[in-house]
Amino acid sequence: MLPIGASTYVITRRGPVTYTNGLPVRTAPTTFSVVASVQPLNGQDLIRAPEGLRRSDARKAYLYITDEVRTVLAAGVEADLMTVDGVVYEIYHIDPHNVFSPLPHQRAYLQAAQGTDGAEVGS
Amino acid sequence: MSYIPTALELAVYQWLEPYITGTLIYENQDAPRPATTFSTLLVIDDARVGRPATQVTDTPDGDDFVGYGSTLRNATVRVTSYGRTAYAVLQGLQEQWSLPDSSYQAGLLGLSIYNITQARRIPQILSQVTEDRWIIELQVYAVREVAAATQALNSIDATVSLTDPS
Repeated sequence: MLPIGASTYVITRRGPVTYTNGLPVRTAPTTFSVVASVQPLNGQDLIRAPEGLRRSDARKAYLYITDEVRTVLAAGVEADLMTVDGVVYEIYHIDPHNVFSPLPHQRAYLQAAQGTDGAEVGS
Repeated sequence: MSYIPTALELAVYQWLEPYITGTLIYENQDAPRPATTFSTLLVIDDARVGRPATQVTDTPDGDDFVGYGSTLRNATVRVTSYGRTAYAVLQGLQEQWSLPDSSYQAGLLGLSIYNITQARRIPQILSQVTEDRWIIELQVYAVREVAAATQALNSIDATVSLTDPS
């Protein structure tokens, strides 16, 4: 069963980063597609958003529990990026609903991704 | 954008790296953190001491001079260590910095480490957990040399004007 209003989106998984002589060495990213229903954040979602991320462009996506998207979990790992209507978002939080839910799914919270120069990631 | 360390940072990194347990990286990079325990280094100031020594040499073809400048620098290097063993990492550095071998290694890199501060604790909350962080600063003398090609005169045009004084 597809989530309501679902569509197909591209997830970009950045490769693990190692350090050589004090500088990061990145590996090439990979991409895959997921089916998701992307919706705006409500007020409670915005309150729970990390400090400093409450006024930027943010969304949440309902995904199948089997789609293994990720946020930052370990050293040397960067969160997945999700492209929605041409805008690149970074996944900053994931809520899995896989135990008590009649329809196992996960909610991924997305934040418009920006590089250190202020430009959107990937632009 | 990739971080580009300066010549001074490269020299300090080479000196520090053998005395730091765990990964040593440059601070302020746009990349995920390595696994703890890791340490970062940052040259927080780099001041000239005294006047620069300069030397100008004529090249064999006579067209260009090459100017050499040599300045003594007094730099402050901040080393921050992250993780549960951060204090032990910096203690290890404090035990090593003035030993003859480390002084010799610094000399090979054009450095002289003449002071090291006490380690100070600056814990931070990261993902609802307090992460231990310790910081020290090194005072470093370094020599910076630059050589820049300088355009010299190729010829002199002169007009002779003689006046008979009698």
